[in-house]
Amino acid sequence: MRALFRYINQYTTVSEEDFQVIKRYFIHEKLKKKQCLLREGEICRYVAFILKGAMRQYYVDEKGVEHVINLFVENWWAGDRESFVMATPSIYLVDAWEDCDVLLISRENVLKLRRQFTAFSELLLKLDERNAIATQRRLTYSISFSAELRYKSFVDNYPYFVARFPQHIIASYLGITKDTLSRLRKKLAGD
Amino acid sequence: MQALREYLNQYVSSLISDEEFEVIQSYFVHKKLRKKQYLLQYGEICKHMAFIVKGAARKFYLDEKGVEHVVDLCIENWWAGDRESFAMSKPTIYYIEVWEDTEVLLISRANVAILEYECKPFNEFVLKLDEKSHIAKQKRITSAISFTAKERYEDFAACYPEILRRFPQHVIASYLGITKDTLSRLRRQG
Repeated sequence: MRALFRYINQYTTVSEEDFQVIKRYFIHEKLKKKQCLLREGEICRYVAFILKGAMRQYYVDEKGVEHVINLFVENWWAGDRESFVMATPSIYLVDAWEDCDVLLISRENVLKLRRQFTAFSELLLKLDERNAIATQRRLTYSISFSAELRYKSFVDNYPYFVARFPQHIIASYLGITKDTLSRLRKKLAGD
Repeated sequence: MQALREYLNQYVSSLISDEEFEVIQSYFVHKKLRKKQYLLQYGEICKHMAFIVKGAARKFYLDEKGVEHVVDLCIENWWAGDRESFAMSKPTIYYIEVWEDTEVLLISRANVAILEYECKPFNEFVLKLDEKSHIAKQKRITSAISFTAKERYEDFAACYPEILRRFPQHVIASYLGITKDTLSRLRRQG
């Protein structure tokens, strides 16, 4: 839980006393590698704050091809926001890529915390802002940048993803083939 | 300003009072832009977010070959701006061009922060809007990286019929990341 306390205090100020209340709204859970937090067609009841481990969110198309939508590591939130907020069935799968320690929180409890603690609402506003920025970037990169530029900015922005996930997952995240990715890696190593 | 009030009221749990709206509107500045005028240009800092009262705008990225990539299309009741530049005060990589004669309400970063802090309904509104916009962006990414051109077009036409009507085909094609020829083929099929 200390990781969550430190994390929240990076964005806003929460006292020890308030944190004792806040932490009661979270459930600690362990996930084994490959275990699913969310399956396609299910409603995302919880978002997971990752204490330890790595996860991925992906979409499986009608041909059975996996498209990696998001990657998550420690101090990130994993889940499908659309399904979580609207209580609609998810089109995604979210699973553990390594053994994970997570803190789960339900939609209802997020809303309760938001009402009860101004600091929690401030945290959400800040996270949403960061998220909007990162998502806009990802979108611009994926529709307008060359594969090389996309890979370069990925390495610059998320060096820890490169270290934690295998090449085929990263290639899928970037929307390029595995062959293109290994060609780019060789090229950049030579530069 | 009435448009803004009706818009905000769609998001909040209890309707905004006259007094609250007096305060909210005092933080906005009204501005008119002519077709083809820029709201924001590459290298500038995005000082304001623009709420579109009337008109349409497009946001694009110009790559090193001079090709425009349409990143966002905005019409009435949408916000135009570059959130990254706005929040971090750093130069933008985008252009935002008004596509029709447009009327906007501008709000600065400092004023957003004041309203978030002092006006509960505004705080509630921003949280809901962020949530909605996050969901829409996530969908767009999924569609851009995993859907076929046909699925992308159908999804877009179903979600944003008004935008489809307001912008020409080459702009829509760029937004969808497909060629103009592919788009017109898809439209004929549909």
